[in-house]
Amino acid sequence: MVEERLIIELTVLLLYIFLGTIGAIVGRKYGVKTSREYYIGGGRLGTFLAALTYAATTYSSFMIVGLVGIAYFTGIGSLGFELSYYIATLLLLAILAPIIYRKSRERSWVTPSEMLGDLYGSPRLAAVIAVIYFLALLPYSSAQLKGIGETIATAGGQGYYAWGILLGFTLILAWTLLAGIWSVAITDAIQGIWMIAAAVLLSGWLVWELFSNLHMTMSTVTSNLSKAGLLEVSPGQGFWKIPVFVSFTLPWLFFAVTNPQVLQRVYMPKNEKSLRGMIIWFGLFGLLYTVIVVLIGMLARAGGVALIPFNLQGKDSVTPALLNIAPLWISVIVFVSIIAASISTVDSIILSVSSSIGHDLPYDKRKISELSVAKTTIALMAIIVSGIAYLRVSYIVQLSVLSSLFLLPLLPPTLAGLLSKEPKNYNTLSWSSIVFGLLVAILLTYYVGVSNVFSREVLGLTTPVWVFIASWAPWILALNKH
Amino acid sequence: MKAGLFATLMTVILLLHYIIPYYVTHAPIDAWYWIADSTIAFILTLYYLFRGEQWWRKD
Repeated sequence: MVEERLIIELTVLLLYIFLGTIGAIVGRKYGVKTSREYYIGGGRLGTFLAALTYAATTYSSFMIVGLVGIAYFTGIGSLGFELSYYIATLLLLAILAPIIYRKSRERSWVTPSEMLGDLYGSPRLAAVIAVIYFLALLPYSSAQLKGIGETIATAGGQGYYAWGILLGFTLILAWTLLAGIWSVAITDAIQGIWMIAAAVLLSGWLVWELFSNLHMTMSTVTSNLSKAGLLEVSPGQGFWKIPVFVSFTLPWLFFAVTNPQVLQRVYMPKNEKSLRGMIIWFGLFGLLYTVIVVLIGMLARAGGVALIPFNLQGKDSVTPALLNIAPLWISVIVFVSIIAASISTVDSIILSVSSSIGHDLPYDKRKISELSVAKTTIALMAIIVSGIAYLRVSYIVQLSVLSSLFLLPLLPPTLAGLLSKEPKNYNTLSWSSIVFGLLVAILLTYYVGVSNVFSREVLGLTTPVWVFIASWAPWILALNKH
Repeated sequence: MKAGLFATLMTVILLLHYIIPYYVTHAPIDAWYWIADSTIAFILTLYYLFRGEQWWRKD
């Protein structure tokens, strides 16, 4: 039985690798010659690729592993938390995407850090932001690779952890270096479809298992969840009290404009019709995927010990537990979808951060070609994140959740730069936002401890709220003075 | 539709998502509330993407 399982797991994993590699090779036909082609596909992506690469990059393995666990333990508030991000992203994309898109065409932007540097007329700002991207997203990328190692170790045994890291490292390098964004976008499309198909299969099986095999009814499911206080969020009660909800949500609300890997995707569609299509299909994907993922966690909880007859060790253990009891084929497809979700996120991050490093750090571009710097940076980043993941330090996962918190100080400069007519007048304010916001983020994280950032209050407010306030404070002070 | 109106409506939807029920109505929130709230946000976005001042003029 164990051997049969291993053979099927390997077969489906090989199928996934085969499909992805074919997709990456297909990407080569687009003929990547310039850095603009390499990083943003020359702005020639159609709706299908643009939407699926946006969705697959946005939704990491946090959804199918982390959010399932959060829904299981904390209930329906997890849906509210994730859908807050969803609504904010729709708002930001609908309003800012056309502005970013048109300016990126006029000004030939390739990287998100270049966008800010150009808006404020400061190449130094672009270089500093490239370094911030690198540092903020390094733990996040390492955590994704660690997730691949843990997934492989859960399936095959602890001895396979390093093989999981090696697999992730190889796929990232191969799928990124083959044709840059073309191979990343095509593999993202395949992985996005795989991710949502796997979530639909797992939720469908859970419905079948609860209602058919365990003979539960809708009223027993709702009554089980209701008794645990998980079906509703009552103000002031349970896990999702306002400070927790706000501190969980705040860094993610602005993800679409603070995280380079998604911001850069707005440059990529071939025309405004494709850009609109990208937002619409991302909207459909996001709503469906979020609801299904939370449903999985809630149904698993409703099944109780009749469904999962062993103790769960924390929120990240719910999905692996489900994979242990689900039918083999579904389990294997979901197992590969976890790897797909991690790879599709981390290769996009590495490509995007490398583009900023290669494009916006000062060096003599007449002597060294930008494309060779980009490829070297990709290889270096892949080695670094794999190395960190290989060390298997537990605090990497904790650090990774701070990525959006550390990118939050980029919000005021981004919004002001895009919406103001003369952003160059606000150069000093932008620097102040970044310096002040980062300083508060680092000091408070050190003071409350990495694991308490979203829960422990300092002077009545949690760290994300303080970082948000600190980032906007220079602008508010300047406005008052004016 | 003007960008300002769209942004205001979406912000109201976002506030209705949790802050207003929490501080004003004190009513418990369930899954259907959040799904309805987000679906309305999606439909409004669709409308804006086809009829919004920033979108309809260039196709």
